[in-house]
Amino acid sequence: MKRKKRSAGQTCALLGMLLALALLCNYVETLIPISFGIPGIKLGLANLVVLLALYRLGAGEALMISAARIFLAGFLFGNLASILYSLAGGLLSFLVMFFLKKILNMGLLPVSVAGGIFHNLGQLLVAALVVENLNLLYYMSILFFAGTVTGGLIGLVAGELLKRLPNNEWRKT
Amino acid sequence: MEKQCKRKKRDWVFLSIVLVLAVAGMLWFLFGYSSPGTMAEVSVDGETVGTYPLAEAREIPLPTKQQATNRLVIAEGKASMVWADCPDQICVEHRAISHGGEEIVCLPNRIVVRILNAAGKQKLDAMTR
Repeated sequence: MKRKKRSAGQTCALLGMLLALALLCNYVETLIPISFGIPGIKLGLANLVVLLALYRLGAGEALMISAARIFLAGFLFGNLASILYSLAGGLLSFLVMFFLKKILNMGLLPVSVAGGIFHNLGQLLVAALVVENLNLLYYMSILFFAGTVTGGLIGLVAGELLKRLPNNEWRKT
Repeated sequence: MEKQCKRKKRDWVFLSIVLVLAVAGMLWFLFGYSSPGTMAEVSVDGETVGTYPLAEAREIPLPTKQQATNRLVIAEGKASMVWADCPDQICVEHRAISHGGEEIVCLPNRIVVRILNAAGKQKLDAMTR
């Protein structure tokens, strides 16, 4: 069956909607009042949208949504420093997810788990650079665990979503 | 079909390795700092500005008395940040620290509070340098 190509306008609308969704996820997450006494542990709901885009729309689209979300969330809720941390985490996590999916051809769950872990690693590396203190990296032990759990949860949800989202609206180009 | 099977296997191998590492990391984090700390060392911009014994309860304005951006409290052998002028309050929400090598970090003000153990050095030195 030949599919009609999505027009530029439709793509724009779809990506805009996904960006809004990612931004909203970002906000909803800040409302969860659980603190583990360890900085940096969070669910990463916005990565759900990035994963959907990566698997259904393509890498470029996923990267655009991820980067735009980080800047917008930074301007809205954060500051320049928080943009820097998010960007380091977001980009590193995206690169690793892209590599695992494209080169190693891995499934959604391992890709999501790796995304969670490397997001934490990216942020921690920038933090260690800012305070000029490599000892900070000991946090990676617990953040690795946290990234595995949250990435796993997001991966499971993304898997269920991908099964249910209609195929014809959500596809590459 | 065979390709799919191989892919599944690769996924599970990857996930198993990650899971083992994650659990090992968590156990190390929770139980690895068995040596109790004796001093809290404060550094600003990567430079040590003071060390304080954990045995003495006190409140320390940081980085200086004139222009404090954070307040560190030492009580009952533990150090915790009770106030910071930044909006994110991550260091304030951080649990109190008392074991060698543990740290509280205030990123906006570039303050690091680190616990030193009896030998005056942290176990982590060998690993991270």
